[in-house]
Amino acid sequence: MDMDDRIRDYIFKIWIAFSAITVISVIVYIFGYIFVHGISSVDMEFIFSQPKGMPIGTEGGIFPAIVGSIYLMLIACLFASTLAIATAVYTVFYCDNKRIEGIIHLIVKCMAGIPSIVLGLFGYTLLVLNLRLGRSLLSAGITLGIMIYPYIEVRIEKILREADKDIIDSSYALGVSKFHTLFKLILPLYKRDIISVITLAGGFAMGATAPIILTGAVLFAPVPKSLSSPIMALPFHLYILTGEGISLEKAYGTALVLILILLIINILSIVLTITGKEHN
Amino acid sequence: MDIIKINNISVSYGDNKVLKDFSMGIKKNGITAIIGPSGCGKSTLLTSLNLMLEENGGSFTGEILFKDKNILSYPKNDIRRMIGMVFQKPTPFPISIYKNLTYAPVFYGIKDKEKLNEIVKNTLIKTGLYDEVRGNLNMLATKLSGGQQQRLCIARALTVEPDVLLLDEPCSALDIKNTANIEEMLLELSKEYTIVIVTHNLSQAKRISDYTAFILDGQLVEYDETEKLFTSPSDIRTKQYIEGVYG
Ligand SMILES: Nc1ncnc2c1ncn2[C@@H]1O[C@H](COP(=O)(O)OP(=O)(O)OP(=O)(O)O)[C@@H](O)[C@H]1O
Ligand SMILES: [Mg+2]
Repeated sequence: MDMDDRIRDYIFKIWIAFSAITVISVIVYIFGYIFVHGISSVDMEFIFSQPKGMPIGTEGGIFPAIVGSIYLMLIACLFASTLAIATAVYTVFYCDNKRIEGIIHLIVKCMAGIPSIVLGLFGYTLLVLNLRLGRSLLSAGITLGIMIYPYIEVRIEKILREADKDIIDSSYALGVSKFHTLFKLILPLYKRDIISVITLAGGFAMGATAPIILTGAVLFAPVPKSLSSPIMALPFHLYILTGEGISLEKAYGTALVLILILLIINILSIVLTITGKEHN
Repeated sequence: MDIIKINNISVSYGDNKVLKDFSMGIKKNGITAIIGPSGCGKSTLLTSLNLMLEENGGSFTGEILFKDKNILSYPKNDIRRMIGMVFQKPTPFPISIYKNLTYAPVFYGIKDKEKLNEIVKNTLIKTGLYDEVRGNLNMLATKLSGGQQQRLCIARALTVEPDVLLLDEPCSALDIKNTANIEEMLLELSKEYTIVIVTHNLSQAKRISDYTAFILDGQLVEYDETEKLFTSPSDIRTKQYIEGVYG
């Protein structure tokens, strides 16, 4: 190693250390800040009761918002992953026309680039007004599903493209059909990776506010009884509490709960990926 | 009687013509070895027979008869069931040993547990694995040793009751002992099945095969009884190859 190389190496190391320290401090700061400000309002009552007070939200809890957010995530995941798995399977295993494949990729990329508030407007026009689903759990869930669809599709497609070709060929060589190979062998083999992707996307959906403002989220609603009920959701609740100046303290409490749930989801996703690797 | 007849086929990948006007018959039962230098088209020939060629982006013209009927007149899955294939690298599915062996039978509609157990047991016995794994059927197949994995792959190919077994250099990743194991097993299987084996190992071809075909540059140079081909080849190129001229 000559002098120049050593200096370059040195600068590179400083750069890496500096970036790592910056990122870690920002994360610690955000978590710490929210924790310090939010912990005082988080207790059993906060988690398990409805919002109360005048204006509503100044007292009581956020239970309907927690449940609402979880429901929204489930619907979004179900809707998005059904479509995403179908798209990915089609492009990887069935489509032999490069041009069609290119068009599909282009559409997925464009969808990923749509601003979430525009998706909200789209959901409002198509689902709420035209399809008469109303501002509801279903409308908001589907809109979130559209938002995370490209994310899931791209990653599942990658998983399938990198699936072991020898294993697929061995299955075909037994005379087993493509359909059976896919649904009985390949998808089950990679199911942990696929679920991990979907879970991660679900967390992303749960934290999004813009798509649900117009399509179903409200300031106050009980725990939803059906798909057509309007719902409370954590990020929207947070937004209202702060934006309307209702209660900054409760807003921090809500933020803390939201972040903790997202943390759990992310950890779950990572655990799934790791145990998936061990499994294979 | 020839169970497979290859009549004037030409095989290509895009513009790359690999086999040229190739003809050859494969006798029922017994072992036929295919030898030739790397890149001469041995694997291509095997994949043409069970139509795996098209999965690799190749195509052929000419005709291949299986039991005197054009293979294209059979449903593709039937051809692949009747003409099984084992790859160079062992490719067990990363699921249990048991499920590796029931995977294809379940696809063909066998649901009866007893029947499935019987298939598993029979194929394991035929491949000499039964005593080694009988207590461990739920073990992940990828945890077996390389030689065991390859025998499992052969067992898996047998679960669908094929007539022909194509093996593409099945021993090239194995040591001498495992190779000897598999050779012995193939000799036993050849009483019941037609076996076509591609091998780079000339002494292996000599040891186990009844017939040997020598391919060079996509053409069949010589095809004869193994004994005859190795002791008194009629083509000078065969002679040179078995004496190690082409490597
Ligand atoms: N999937 C493929 N796509 C394009 N060309 C291919 C493909 N497979 C093989 N070929 C070409 O066909 C020719 C013959 O290949 P093949 O694999 O049949 O040879 P081989 O005799 O089996 O060689 P080896 O002993 O190294 O396995 C080679 O020139 C190779 O480049
Ligand atoms: Mg080969």
